[in-house]
Amino acid sequence: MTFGMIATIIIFILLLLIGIPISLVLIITSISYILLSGDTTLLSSVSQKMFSGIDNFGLLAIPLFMLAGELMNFGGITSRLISFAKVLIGHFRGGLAYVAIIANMFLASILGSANAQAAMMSKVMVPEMEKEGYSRDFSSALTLASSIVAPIIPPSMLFIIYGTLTGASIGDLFMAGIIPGILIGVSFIIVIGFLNRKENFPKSERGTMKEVINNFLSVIPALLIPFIIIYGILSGMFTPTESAAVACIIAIIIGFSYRQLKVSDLPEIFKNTVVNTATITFLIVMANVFGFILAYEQIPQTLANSMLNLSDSPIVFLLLVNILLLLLGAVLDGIAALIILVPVLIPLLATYQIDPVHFGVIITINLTIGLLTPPVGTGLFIVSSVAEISIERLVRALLPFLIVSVLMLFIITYWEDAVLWIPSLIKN
Amino acid sequence: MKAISNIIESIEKILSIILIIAITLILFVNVIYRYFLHDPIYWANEASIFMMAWATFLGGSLGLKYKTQASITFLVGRLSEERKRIMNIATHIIILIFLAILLYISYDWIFSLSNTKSSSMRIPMWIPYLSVPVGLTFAFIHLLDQLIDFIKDGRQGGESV
Repeated sequence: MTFGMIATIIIFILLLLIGIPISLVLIITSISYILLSGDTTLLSSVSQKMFSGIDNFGLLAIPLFMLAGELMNFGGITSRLISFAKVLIGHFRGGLAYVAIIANMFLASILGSANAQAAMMSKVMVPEMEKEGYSRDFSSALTLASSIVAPIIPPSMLFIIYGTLTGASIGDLFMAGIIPGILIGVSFIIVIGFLNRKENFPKSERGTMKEVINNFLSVIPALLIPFIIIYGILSGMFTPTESAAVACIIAIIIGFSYRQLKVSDLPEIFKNTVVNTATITFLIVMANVFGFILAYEQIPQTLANSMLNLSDSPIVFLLLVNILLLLLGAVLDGIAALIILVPVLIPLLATYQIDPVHFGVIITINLTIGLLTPPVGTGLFIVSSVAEISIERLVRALLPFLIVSVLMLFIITYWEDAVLWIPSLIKN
Repeated sequence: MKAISNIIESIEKILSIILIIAITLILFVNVIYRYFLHDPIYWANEASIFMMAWATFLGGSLGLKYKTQASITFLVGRLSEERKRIMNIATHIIILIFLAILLYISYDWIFSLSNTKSSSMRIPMWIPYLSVPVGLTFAFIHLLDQLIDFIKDGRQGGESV
């Protein structure tokens, strides 16, 4: 390893720790490397590399799914989904706890981002659960934990980014996420079942048949969205990217028909969409320069060789990757970690004969769990500020869910057939 | 500097709103044209990618102004207010130096472009490429404005969002 490379690594870590935005850390590190290595002809490629980082049709899904999410949020979809789940299962013991999970799974099939979902759900769900006698610790931990299904049940922003970085089919990734998403949801339901015996959770009144029907009718348009998206992609009517534009148009229509979305909300929604999108795409742009430098220094190959020297078993490889990602996910934002690491890890997949779609699902679940782990879990920060609970209390209440999610991560890691079953069904 | 930064902010906001509306509509209308009318809009994909590039660099600049970009804050968050202010001054100076280098590189790139045209719309490539230097210039102004704030008043430095 050259002097320039070692100095660059030190600069990279230092810049991250002093709180410079990660996107800028990536570009500053890249430029420092070029200056240190003395190969200044590389500088002339930097601008081109920044632009080519965004020059990708798949990435358009990011602003569009963001927009769909914002529109849903203003359009009153969350509260309707919750009341539908509540009349269905609220009368069981611990009913509202199950509602939180089910409503999160519904919402996950519309939204593509765990952070957005955690914010929306905790705003509505935590006060509702507290009113019925659940502790705030438990309510906010449960709401946050169940939001991790958002990027796993399609549509999913992380799958889109992974797909564009690796060339894996985004349609296949969407299909592959369905079973793991449901498995995680079910595992949380089992956790609640156990806690139920000990804690004796409250239950709500049983809804009348009329309430069930009324609530069902009011959520039908929202529940149609995932079906339209999946049907449209599979039938070739539109690409995954275009499906996001279709979702936006449906979301606007639903929002106006519920009479909750107002024209005066729209400028704010559009502006938020662009700013939130750019926090991701700006990172992608800068990471493209960083990846170019890594490739130039042949870091992925070096890493691949040292991994192979360590072990040639895919089981060991996946274990090591999972541990590495869980650790990184605890200090780095999930999307940033994905963008930085995936180009380095992808060349290894062929060597270990791991399916890129399966790997995408593993990495997505892993990094989403990172949203729940301190010190840097964006999900923790969001819910702790929305639900007004300290991070420490939140983490303590989260612990059972965290353990179960890591357990599920490993089950999904080593159960390839479950992940690839739906994509293979569709191919035949 | 504050005034300039704020004027730029409103320009960025207006452009962002126009861009996101245009992207959504173009892609949606293209689905209808292609699937139902069998007459795809040949420039739809390219136009929306170019607009996303502009949205990325303008939005990225806005994100730096609003401090919504992901960063590792758990160490800096523990510092005292005064130390935090000094740290902020230091990080802003580092960022500005490198942004200046980046600006030089990207303007140099724009001015040395040969007369290439985009593949479907046949518009000159400087139109999408210009998003890079313009966005970074705006980001530079926002960050310079923040730096001046940090230097001017110590006490409110940490909460100028």
